[in-house]
Amino acid sequence: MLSVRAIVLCCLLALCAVGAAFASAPADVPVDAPVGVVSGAPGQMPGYPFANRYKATVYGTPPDYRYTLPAATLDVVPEVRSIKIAERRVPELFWYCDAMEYSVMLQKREAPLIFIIAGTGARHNSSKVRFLQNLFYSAGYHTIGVSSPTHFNFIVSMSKHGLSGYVPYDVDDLHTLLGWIKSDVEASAKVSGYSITGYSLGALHAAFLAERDSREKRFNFEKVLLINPPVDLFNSALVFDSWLRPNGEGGGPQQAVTKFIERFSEFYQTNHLGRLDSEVLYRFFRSLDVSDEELKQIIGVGFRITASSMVFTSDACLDAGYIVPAGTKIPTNEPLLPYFIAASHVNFEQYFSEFLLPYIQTRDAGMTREGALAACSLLRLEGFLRNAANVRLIGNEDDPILSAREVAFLKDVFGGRGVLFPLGGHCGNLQYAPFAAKALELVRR
Amino acid sequence: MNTTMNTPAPRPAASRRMALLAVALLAALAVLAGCGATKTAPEYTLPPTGFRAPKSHVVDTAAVQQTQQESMLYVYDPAERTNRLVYNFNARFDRAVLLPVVAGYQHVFPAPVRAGVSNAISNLNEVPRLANSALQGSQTKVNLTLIRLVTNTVLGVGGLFDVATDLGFEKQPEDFGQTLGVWGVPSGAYIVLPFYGPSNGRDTVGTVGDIVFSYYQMEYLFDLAGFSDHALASNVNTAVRAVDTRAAIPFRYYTTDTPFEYDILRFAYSKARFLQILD
Repeated sequence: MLSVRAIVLCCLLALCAVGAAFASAPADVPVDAPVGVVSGAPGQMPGYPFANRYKATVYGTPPDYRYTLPAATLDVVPEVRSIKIAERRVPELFWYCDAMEYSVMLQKREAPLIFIIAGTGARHNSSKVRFLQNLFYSAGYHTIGVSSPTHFNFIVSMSKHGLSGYVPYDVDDLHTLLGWIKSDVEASAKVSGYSITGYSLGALHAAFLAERDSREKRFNFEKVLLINPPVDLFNSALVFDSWLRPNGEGGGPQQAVTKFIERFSEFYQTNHLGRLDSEVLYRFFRSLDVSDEELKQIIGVGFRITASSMVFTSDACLDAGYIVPAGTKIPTNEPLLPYFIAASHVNFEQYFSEFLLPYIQTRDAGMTREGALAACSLLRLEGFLRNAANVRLIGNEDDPILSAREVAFLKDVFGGRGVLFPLGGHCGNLQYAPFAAKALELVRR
Repeated sequence: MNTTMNTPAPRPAASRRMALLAVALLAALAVLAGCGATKTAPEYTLPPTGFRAPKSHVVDTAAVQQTQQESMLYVYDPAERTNRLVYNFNARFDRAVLLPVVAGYQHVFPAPVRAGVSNAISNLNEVPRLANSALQGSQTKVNLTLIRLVTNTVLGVGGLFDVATDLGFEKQPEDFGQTLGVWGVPSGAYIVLPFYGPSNGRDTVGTVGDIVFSYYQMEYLFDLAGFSDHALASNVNTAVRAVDTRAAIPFRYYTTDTPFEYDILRFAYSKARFLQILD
């Protein structure tokens, strides 16, 4: 998800770029112990530091709490490969992403392969995918990072319908793509078997792919690991949208983000930072005094920015006249901020009822709103998930995208094949050492 | 499913050595550019469907100017269309020339050598940093920069090692654009410079100032070192600096996960420069 954190990171990056002041942090930088940490026994990893689910979701895992990957693995840079579909219509505006990219890390000898599907709006080499790639690579897997079907590169270069957000279509495209990747990889490496994982929306996709494969037996997935899946795409999207209150306490989303950036400015100014890296970013987070309301607005903004990219791209590819006037060929130098603004005013409910559903109905006249929504929910797979011994779940009890009922559903359906951590928010503890170790264990055992 | 992989075109019937060389070069380029395959899949060619969204949120062109300025991401950018062309050119140049050269540089020279080059260039740049610190009237920055220059030149073997940072004397990345900012010169319009990337009116003047300063500094040093061929030395200096600078910047074009990258980078650049001037 392109979050506000990403924007702050972007500022950091820009600072690095313009100042050429980039330097890695020395190992001895003291880290202030966060308040409320339950310290484990000496030498053991202390508890996950953010007891607040929204903080966990926005801040992630501080460096000291992260799973330590073997140094040798860190040196392996994933190779970026791409697949271009011959004769595909690609709007001129997207000249730079007309091929579907994916990240490949191959072992030197025969090994099992795991596909990693990115979360909402994320790329094949986003930090979470990259971490999972390294994690499984260090455990002896060939690893393939795949962008989310909601990422604009996927919509432009791979989506059969030129849109995203409808799970059956997205899973269909993923299935085709993974098949192509399978044949490409098998041409250069020995694969002993296939597994699949994904986080957030990518986990939901992985579950649907696993169900389909249980019937079609194309990959014969050995293991399937769902990391922080939503139970219902639509419900979770509505949760994010509901957090954006234009006139909420202490101002709307714009105020929340502005405050966040202003605090960062103050922090930067008072600390005379010569060095900018994730260590600094976490010191900044810990210095912040923000309310749940503000954090929710920030997460909501992040989701909305991601959704705007998806809405705009789908509209531009389909020429549906939703954001971009019908028949417009946007030249490569056209100012896009007006489109960005227009797209960011569209919430997920609107996108679904004004764009997605009408499109689906042109393909399937009998499709109802209820039918389309149900097709995007894990509830549809309940029977399969209950009995699929190779499908495992890892997540958090305090995941803000899940309702209490949905958490109960996951516990009930997965039973002993599921592990829920008490803290971590939505994917906040993905890199937290005990979480990552458990994820690995769930795939290997 | 009808999927085929296109095979590479047959080698031209040149001499065997030429062919081998060409293959080796192609292989090297393929590694640098990433592997690309083409699939033939007629149902994935996205033919026009004629679909129109029943409700539209199409931009009202009259209101555009207004809404833009209310946006958090708004930056004054009157030459946006030209800037976007330059941005695209920079992205292509980066992909086709700079990044492959950086990759080659990183492949040929081991990390300690590259760090030495980087430190040496940075040490040369302590001189303009010192000048800018003085022009900004910051005694602290002047002191730190002087200490760094002396420490790294003497203890760091002519600047090859950055001993000063290890001792806790942080680099003060001051440039002439920041100095102008400290003096109260407004940033002006956003500008994307060819090769250099994001800038604005003030920082463009600053960059020119930095280039001129660096030119005379290097001319002086070439004289001191007794180089007779200044043009050659100057070209080498420029090339090495360009590669070293690009190698140190983790940014890659078109990887920000949104088609609105130009807008976000423009915002980030403006914010970052604002922060640097405050510091």
